[in-house]
Amino acid sequence: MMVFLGKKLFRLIVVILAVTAITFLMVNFLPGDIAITTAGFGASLEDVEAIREDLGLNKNIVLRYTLWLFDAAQGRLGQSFLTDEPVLEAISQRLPVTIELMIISQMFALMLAIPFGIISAYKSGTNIDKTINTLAFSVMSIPTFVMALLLIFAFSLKVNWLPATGYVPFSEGFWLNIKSFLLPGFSIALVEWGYLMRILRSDMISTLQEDYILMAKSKGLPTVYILFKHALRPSCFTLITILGIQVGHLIGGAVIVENIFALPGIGSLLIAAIYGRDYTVVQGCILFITIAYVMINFFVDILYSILDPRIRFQNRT
Amino acid sequence: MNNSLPARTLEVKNLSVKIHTSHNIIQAVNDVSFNLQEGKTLAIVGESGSGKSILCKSILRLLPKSAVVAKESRILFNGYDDLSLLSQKEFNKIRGRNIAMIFQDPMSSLNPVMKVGKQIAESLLHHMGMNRKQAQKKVIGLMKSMGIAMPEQRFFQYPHQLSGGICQRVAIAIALACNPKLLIADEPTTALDVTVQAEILDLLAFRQSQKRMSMILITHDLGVAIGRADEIAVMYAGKIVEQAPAEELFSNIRMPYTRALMASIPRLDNPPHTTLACIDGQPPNLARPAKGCCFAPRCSRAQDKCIKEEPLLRPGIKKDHVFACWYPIGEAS
Repeated sequence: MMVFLGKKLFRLIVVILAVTAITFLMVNFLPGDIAITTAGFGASLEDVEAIREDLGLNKNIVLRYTLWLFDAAQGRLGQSFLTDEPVLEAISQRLPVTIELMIISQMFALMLAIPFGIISAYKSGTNIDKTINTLAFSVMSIPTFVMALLLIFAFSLKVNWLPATGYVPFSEGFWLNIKSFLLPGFSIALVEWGYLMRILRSDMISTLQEDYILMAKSKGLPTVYILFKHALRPSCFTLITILGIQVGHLIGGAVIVENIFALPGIGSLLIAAIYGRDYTVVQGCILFITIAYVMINFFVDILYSILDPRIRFQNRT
Repeated sequence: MNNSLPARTLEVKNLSVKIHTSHNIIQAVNDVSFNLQEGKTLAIVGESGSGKSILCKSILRLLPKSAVVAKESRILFNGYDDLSLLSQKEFNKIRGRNIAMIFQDPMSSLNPVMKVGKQIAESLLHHMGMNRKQAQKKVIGLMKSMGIAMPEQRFFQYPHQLSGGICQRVAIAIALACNPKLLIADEPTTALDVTVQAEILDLLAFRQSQKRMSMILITHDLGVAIGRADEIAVMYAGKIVEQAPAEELFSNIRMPYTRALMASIPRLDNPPHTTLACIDGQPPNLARPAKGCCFAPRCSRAQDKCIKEEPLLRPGIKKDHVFACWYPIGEAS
């Protein structure tokens, strides 16, 4: 187990180095400059140079990256060039919003994908299966922002059940907070469940052909019990892999959905920082997203071994 | 019921199964009828693809969706008139409770992600209304009587941690958990080591005599069938082509196919390097059944009549020995 963790930690460090170096380089190549923006309209060339020097932008890029890396390693992510807000604080303020959106949307997506995936695998080839698949394909082909607008139109403008935009913090009430996430969560889930459902369906169909399903049937167990207790667990490995990737994406921020529903998440922070050439914020966000990605992958690996004892015992030896 | 007749556990009448594939229809089981008496063993012998597995799966409704059982087929089981008339819910009360099955490959017939103890306990929880504690106690007892050492530890292990022989003992424990009246064993020893095969068959025979259970033993090994069964049915191309009590069949084979099967068993008293006899040709294509006897193309005794007309099952000198052959062994051709 220690070796396993050590390997993962090593990989985390390698990935962080690679990703932050690449983003540093890419942000550097972007046209435009924070110094010009800060100096404002009509500033002289000397003023801009002075600001550059002040922010340390005139140094060599390798040196700048190394300095940033040393600071980051000590937990100092610096301050935003534009707002002077500490980067760590900015991220930790946005983080709960992003995580809540991620959890709610994935929950909805799974709540749709698992039952429909099971039904359509069990009834594969029948009209029920075809209907579910057609439905899944049609929602998959709708872009998230169109889905979001449709949902706003239906649930906010027509019946006025849910707020169209805006974020209510948890401190102002649990239900109000959840309410502000329902539509954004659904717009992500309604597009995503189709993928998850298709994946579960195809794995489930092959599981249902296994001998141990016949054995379970020969015990006289009810079909629903067999599907959930015998067939679901061995069928959800690909599902979990894909889910891990989706969760990773969402940690990076569901930019479009956050924008439409005016949710202050990581995605909108990152976008604003890129537009403003706010290097420290961009680097901070990317660092955080990278760590989150690697952690999620780690959890997916752990989940595999919880679900399948064969993997568990392999790791032990 | 008439006292002079032994109780019948199972009566299969005119069972036919068709399998629909993407481009043709295969007649996998063709008008098969047999009876099985209480406490007796019927062996169904045949080579791969003869329909013996499909036959047994159709009794337990375990056929794939592409298989269709013919309407006139009747399966009468102990007290229930016709199994095929029962709803799925009613049938599930019999399945696992009164009729149980053991599969060919114990490694693949146990769920890899479920502890074996739980897999045995499931049918007890479901059919016998036991609670978890009672079921666990009963399961450990069952495992012990199946000859599994250290059942308390094995209870919490997964199939991949056990050997093939132990897995098959677990599978037998699952099948016998509710004391079924009928056990269907689909080649229970094919996937096992030769040394374990006899142990498993002995275990089955012992349990059978204890509980007066009837058994259908599917095997491709005529030798096993003769040693273990009371009655033997030989299947070829989806049909029963010869059926007789075991000793009668052993001493008096009538059907050329059965003799060919018999000749292909390796014998201990063969001198070393003897060529093993095998049956020439291929099993027939069940999608396009021949008009005459289905074994005729591979039969050394075949004549014109065999290709033109299909022989029906008929008794010979002894009434309980039936065979489907125009020119049986022992009759002048």
